[in-house]
Amino acid sequence: MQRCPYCNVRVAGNKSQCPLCGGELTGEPAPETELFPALEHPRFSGGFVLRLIALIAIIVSAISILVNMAVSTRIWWSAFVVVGCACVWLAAVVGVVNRRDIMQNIAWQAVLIPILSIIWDKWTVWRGWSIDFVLPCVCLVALLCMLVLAVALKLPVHAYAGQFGLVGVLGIVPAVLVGFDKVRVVLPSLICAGLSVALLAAMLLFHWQTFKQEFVRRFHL
Amino acid sequence: MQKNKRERNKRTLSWSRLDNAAKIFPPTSHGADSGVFRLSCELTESVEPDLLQRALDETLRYYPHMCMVMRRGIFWYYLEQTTLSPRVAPEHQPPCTPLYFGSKSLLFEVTYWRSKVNIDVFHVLADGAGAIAFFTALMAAYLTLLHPEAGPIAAPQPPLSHKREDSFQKYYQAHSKGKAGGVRRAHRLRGAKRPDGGLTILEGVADVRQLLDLAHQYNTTLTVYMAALMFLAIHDEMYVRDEKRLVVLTVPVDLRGFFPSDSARNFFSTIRVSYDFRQRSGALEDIIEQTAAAFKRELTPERLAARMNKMASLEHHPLLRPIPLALKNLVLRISGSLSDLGETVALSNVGKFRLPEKLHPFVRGFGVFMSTGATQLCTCTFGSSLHFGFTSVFESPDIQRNFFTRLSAAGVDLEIRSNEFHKEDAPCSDAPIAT
Repeated sequence: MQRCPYCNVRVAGNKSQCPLCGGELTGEPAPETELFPALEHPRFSGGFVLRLIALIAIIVSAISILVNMAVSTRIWWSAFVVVGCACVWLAAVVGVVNRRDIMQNIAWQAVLIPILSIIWDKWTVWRGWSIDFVLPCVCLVALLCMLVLAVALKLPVHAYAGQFGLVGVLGIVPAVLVGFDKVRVVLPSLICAGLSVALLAAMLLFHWQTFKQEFVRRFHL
Repeated sequence: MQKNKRERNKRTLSWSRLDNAAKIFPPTSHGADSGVFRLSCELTESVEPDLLQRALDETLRYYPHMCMVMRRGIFWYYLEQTTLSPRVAPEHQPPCTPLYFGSKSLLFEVTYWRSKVNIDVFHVLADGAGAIAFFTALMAAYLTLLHPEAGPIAAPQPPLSHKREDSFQKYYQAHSKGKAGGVRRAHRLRGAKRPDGGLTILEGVADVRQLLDLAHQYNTTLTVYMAALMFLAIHDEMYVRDEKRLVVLTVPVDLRGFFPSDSARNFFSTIRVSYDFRQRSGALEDIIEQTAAAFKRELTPERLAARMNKMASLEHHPLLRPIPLALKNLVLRISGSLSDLGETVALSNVGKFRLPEKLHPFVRGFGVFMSTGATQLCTCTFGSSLHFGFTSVFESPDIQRNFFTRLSAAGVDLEIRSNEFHKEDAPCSDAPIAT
């Protein structure tokens, strides 16, 4: 076994230097006494992807501001580009953070995208497109995606009960908005709410125990 | 297979709250301080992965609470039973690498390399004693599969409900008089952190009898002697101006020794032992005397119960409970960082690993490593071998070197292992080599 004369210890394995003092080792190496494999370092994680997307967003924003300043500063159109980049980045964060759980991912996107659209709509003079089209369409697509995935992947109900419940309840919101006369184009909202009620009712009637349990777990104090 | 499918499609899953000690880990785990600890077992022969898998499947039947995933609730995290079945894998990551990546990840991992078996456990699931119970059961099952001639070994097992029990809840008493005691800033280690953000792993192996002889020379116990050496190892690196602050060791204490419990989940508390190098001599005898007195003072059921109740009272506070999880995480993260300011290093004596006598010839020793945001030493014994597992976020192993060279100067024969400085730099394959 190798030895460090300075630290006066034996050193296991076949080492290039003393792990304690960094000094030279004496004696015969004994590779069979090595206890740890030499490992490849992990290449990149979710953090790397997020940083890459953030970098692209910052570069695009910076270029648009510079072009805006170079051409004319009468209209600050680059503000839209910057906020747009921020929104895309936010959606990407949600996507990357929840990349291992597709149902969770869909549910969070279904919450995030309508909220961002409503903010955009408000900011760019309210025309109501966010609640006329985006909210019901996103809920509709999210519910259908969940349904298709659940069937295709043969997922047990408890794997997506919480997320399905969340999107289902969100899908009824357009009908409430229609009731309060906030919506101009009512068809998407009605289709979305109708499907949500039907699917939620089916799930609750046939899987009541699962949904109840999920609720108790998620809301325990 | 049929059974597995039935399990998968069960309408309800069992779940449990996080116990009091577990609640701090999810918000405070980040970077190298992953909240994961590793137990490892060195055998005398190469590991047979298929048998290890079989042993794992068998052992998990008696420890179902290990197969849990952590999910986010509105107010708290919780553990939920999962149908994922753990697979043993060749060692592919350094010790104490994060295990929790959302609700799809198991909170423990069994790996092997050559003749060593490791288990990495996220602290949310179990503490050292809880994980040791599982790991020794796994190793006993594996070794009896490998050596049927050693005979069937029936280890007495506590009932499942006892293993699942949350003993913090059992022993919690509201309105008990616990002294609040603010955090006093302690001396913090300095030095360049590792550029890869990981941990510097160093393991020392010695004969426990040599250490016991040394401790007995000073009329003290092994833990106190090691704590005293740790104080000296830290002091060797301190500047004179650092001495205005106390050096503080945080020592986790297994509460099962004080309050009867068979829980295989978390049931521990911590005590803090400090030494003032400016006011006192700094001689080994004086440090031992001070440390022994502090251990005697702190390690009483009353003191430990007071501390346990203080920690648990936060969890039971009627105004804190309904705060949404995201906000709670923020508060817990800040309070965790503040509490860190009060400690220099952590020293954990995990104690003895026990296996049935007949299996002793097949095992060389056990080791323990704990993730940390600074430097931590975990020690454990098996038979006559004593393992020191050092983990540190600092690149330069100064404290570790001081500690080990002080031991070797006292006449202890030490073997040092490291997961770096391999002469052949090619990443090792998992192929077992002939030994």
